[in-house]
Amino acid sequence: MSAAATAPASSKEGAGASSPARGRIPGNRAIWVGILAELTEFTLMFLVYFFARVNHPQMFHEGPRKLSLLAGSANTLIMVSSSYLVARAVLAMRQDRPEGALRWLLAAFVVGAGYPVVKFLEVRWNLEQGLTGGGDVFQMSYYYLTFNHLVHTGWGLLGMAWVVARTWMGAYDAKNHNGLVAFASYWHATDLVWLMIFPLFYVMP
Amino acid sequence: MTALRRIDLAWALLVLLTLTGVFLGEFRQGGFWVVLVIALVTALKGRLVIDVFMELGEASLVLRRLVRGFGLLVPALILVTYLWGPLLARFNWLLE
Repeated sequence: MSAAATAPASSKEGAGASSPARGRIPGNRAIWVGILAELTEFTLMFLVYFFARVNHPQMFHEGPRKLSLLAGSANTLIMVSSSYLVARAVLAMRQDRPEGALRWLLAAFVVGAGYPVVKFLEVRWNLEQGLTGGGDVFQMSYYYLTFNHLVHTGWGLLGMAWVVARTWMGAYDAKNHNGLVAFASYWHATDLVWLMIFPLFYVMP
Repeated sequence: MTALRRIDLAWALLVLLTLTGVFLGEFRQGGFWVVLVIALVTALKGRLVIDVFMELGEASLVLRRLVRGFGLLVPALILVTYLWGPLLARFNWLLE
């Protein structure tokens, strides 16, 4: 999604969106269709979560004990840090330092790639503890929401690989980098969704 | 504050707030004040990402309101379902 949305950016850039201006749409409109679809999808899933929670308070009270708080916390730190590194890349590009932007993006990719690794270890650990998608309503909603988020993170990492390549090829500069900002917006939105998921499954008493 | 300092500060706060959440998750104490802190920490983290990383603080009003609204949904529902969970569960028949 993000790769497709960022692709036409270079031909249409220069519309003044490269530096923050009041009332602008960061990146391009296409990416915001994707982002708003993502937020709508997760809004519906959050409503399902809370519906299940008020009906099965005991399961949701006991649920987080069975999950790995370490894995959830590690992925939260990964998401906020990768998001931060992407923000630094955009800032470097805006200051006309494409080589700096490339380094920040590579760092963001390396950190972000830790997310599926932690997820893999977490699921393996879960299965060893007997936590499956066929478990109680807490476990079902946990797998449904977090796997959905994992899919969005996968799109994000593919999009990031794309903007890394585009930056490396010199496709962006201080004035024209809407494609980079579009990707950054998607990545931050995916970070935002995770920050909402984290307390629901790992922290809430 | 420069953009650089804002971004750095936002990241430091996000890490700090995440560790607060980890602390609360580790000790798993219940009660209104704990739930209130969890909701506030979640809302603040969301707002930092939205305003500083996504730079929506000065972007299109529609986008800003939609995304900030999304960032408040979960914190609000955490509080509402904590305070009125049993009452809300009584309305299940509406969906049947």
